[in-house]
Amino acid sequence: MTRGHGAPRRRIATSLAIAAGLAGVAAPAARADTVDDHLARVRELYDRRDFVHARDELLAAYQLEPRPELLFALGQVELNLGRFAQAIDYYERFIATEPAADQVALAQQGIGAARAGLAEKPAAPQPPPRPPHRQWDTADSALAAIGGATLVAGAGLTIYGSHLAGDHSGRLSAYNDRVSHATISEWVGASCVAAGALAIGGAVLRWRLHLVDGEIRPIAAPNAAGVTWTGRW
Amino acid sequence: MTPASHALGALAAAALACLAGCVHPDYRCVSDHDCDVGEAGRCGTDHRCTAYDPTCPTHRRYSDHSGPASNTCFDDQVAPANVCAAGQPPATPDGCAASVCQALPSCCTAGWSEACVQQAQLVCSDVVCDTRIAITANKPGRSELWDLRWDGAQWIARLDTRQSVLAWLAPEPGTVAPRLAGFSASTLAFDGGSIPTAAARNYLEATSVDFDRDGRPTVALGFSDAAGPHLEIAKLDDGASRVVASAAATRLSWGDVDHDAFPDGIAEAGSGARYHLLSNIEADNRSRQIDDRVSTTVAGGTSSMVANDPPAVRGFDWIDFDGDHQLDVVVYGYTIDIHPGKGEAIGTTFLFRIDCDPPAAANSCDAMIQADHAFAGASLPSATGPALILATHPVRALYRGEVRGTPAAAVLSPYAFPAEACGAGCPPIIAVAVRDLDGDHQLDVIAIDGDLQVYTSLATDHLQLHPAIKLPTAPAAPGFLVVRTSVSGAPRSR
Repeated sequence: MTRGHGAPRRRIATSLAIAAGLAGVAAPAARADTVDDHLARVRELYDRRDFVHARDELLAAYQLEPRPELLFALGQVELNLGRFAQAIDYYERFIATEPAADQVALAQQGIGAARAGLAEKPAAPQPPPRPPHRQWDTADSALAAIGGATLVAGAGLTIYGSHLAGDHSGRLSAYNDRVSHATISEWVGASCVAAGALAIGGAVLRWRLHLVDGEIRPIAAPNAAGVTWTGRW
Repeated sequence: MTPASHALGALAAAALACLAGCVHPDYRCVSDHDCDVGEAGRCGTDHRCTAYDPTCPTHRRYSDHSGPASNTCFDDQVAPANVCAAGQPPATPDGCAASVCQALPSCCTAGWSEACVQQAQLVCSDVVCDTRIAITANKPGRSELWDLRWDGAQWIARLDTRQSVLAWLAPEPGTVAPRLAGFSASTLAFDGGSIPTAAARNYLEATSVDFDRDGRPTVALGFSDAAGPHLEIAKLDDGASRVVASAAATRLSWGDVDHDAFPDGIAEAGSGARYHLLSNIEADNRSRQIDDRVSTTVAGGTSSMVANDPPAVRGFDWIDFDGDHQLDVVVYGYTIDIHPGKGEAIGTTFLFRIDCDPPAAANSCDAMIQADHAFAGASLPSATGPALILATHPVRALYRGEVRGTPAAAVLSPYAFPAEACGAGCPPIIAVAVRDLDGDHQLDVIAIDGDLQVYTSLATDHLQLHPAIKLPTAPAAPGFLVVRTSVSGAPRSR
């Protein structure tokens, strides 16, 4: 709701009262849908803040009987609908009917409020919030690359170790030495493979969990506190 | 989780599994030269390296990286495919061998000797063997080699054309058939192969024995040369051999002297009355050598006074004579000496010494009679107790003797010979073998005289000898002075 609308809202009752007073004096009793009927529905709609239908009822009433007060009431409804130019038009047409001075003052106030509304920039329509989505970032790439390199190196060491241990040539002492080296190589290699796999897995996990545009809301309750993270998984 | 995550997890798991699965050190050697880790490395028949380790019964332990056997004690025990043949590695105590080793533990700890074969024939209901006797018959200027076989139905004799010493060797490892061997033209030729021998050596004996406890087919060859008697330990799989010093190498026989894990022997020193116990010991370089320092002599026997000059020692045999489950050794020659296997090792102490004719305790007869005699014989274990089969010389007689009572005395039961044309002039029995011929799990007697007439007496024959086969020598009565037998066999169906 824009600022400056409080006073016109209060004054609508006055304008409707003006219109109702007029209707009470001049309404033809024989018509099925009289101006008073329209004005009664306007009051209900206005209370429900259904300004669109209230405007329709006022226009219908004005067609039946173009009372000046109805112009003021239309100005108020257009003001509430944010159609400031139309509101000014109705207020000015009302003033042109040369109402009483206090009513002119009220119309002038309405015009002022409408002009203030016109002067404001229209609020940019809020784009729908972007759904949260995963993002593969540089850190993920670096982690995956390091993991991949480690994994490949580990696999190489493991294969090398197996090759060493599979070489049964020469004497037992030479074989013992080879097996020692092979064991170290295979342990280091397997560790590297495991570490590399874990790093790649970490990158994938990080990518899976790294949701951007998620919504974080604090929770505050008499007996609980925390944060909810709303995102899509 | 995404498929990528699953794949990465699987990769990591595979890497860790690789640690357990990829490294399987498993070294296989080709020769001893390859086994250069530890002391006295040796490459076994399983192509694994072992090294010296005195804490193991065989003094050898598998090296690292020997597969499932790594760092375990080496032991070449085997389940013999042929329990009817001696000279094999000790048996694993399963089945028949378990029963045998209950009576004679050395059959499962030191080696499968002829005593083990006899025990198997006694106690194993599923063991029925044929009988194969390699005969080396000698007299001055003549030597004959005979392959004598009993197949359960008949005796078959075949003259062997090799030059000297016919003997049965153990089957090739894992096989059944024992191998007949003999020396000829600088080789030891045996069924399925031959190894070279030295021309300058006079080979006297060929015996199978797991001397080094390496499970390889090994023979101990007794020989003499200008430096005296020696043993040659040869491997039949590659012909490798080494000479082991030994003061005795004739009538070589293997059993257990010192109750360790290695087979020990006994042999006669040259042609004299002395014989040596041959303890298989470890040399400084961890190879197996012979300790021949324990020796003694048979008594009496001024052989020059006796026609045909019998040998001082005719043979050796192993039997648990005193029921202590240790092998005792019996010497047959001028006297019959029984050395018990009590204590740490067999020594020179006699359990009993037999001499005289009829045989009796050695101190019970005239010295001149003692001097005339040179016994042949064999030990005969039985369910009712051990006995000895004693053949006298020069007068032909055969006895079953048991030692009973306190003080011990020989109790003799004479065998009855069949009526023959030669009558009182029949030559004496100069070789005796004991095997179960008829498969009744009682040991029977095979006796061979100087004319190579073979007699048998089954356990159920009540000491009656029967002529079995006359080896077809020419002339028919050659009068051999010495007959050496090497006995083996193979399983046969009843």
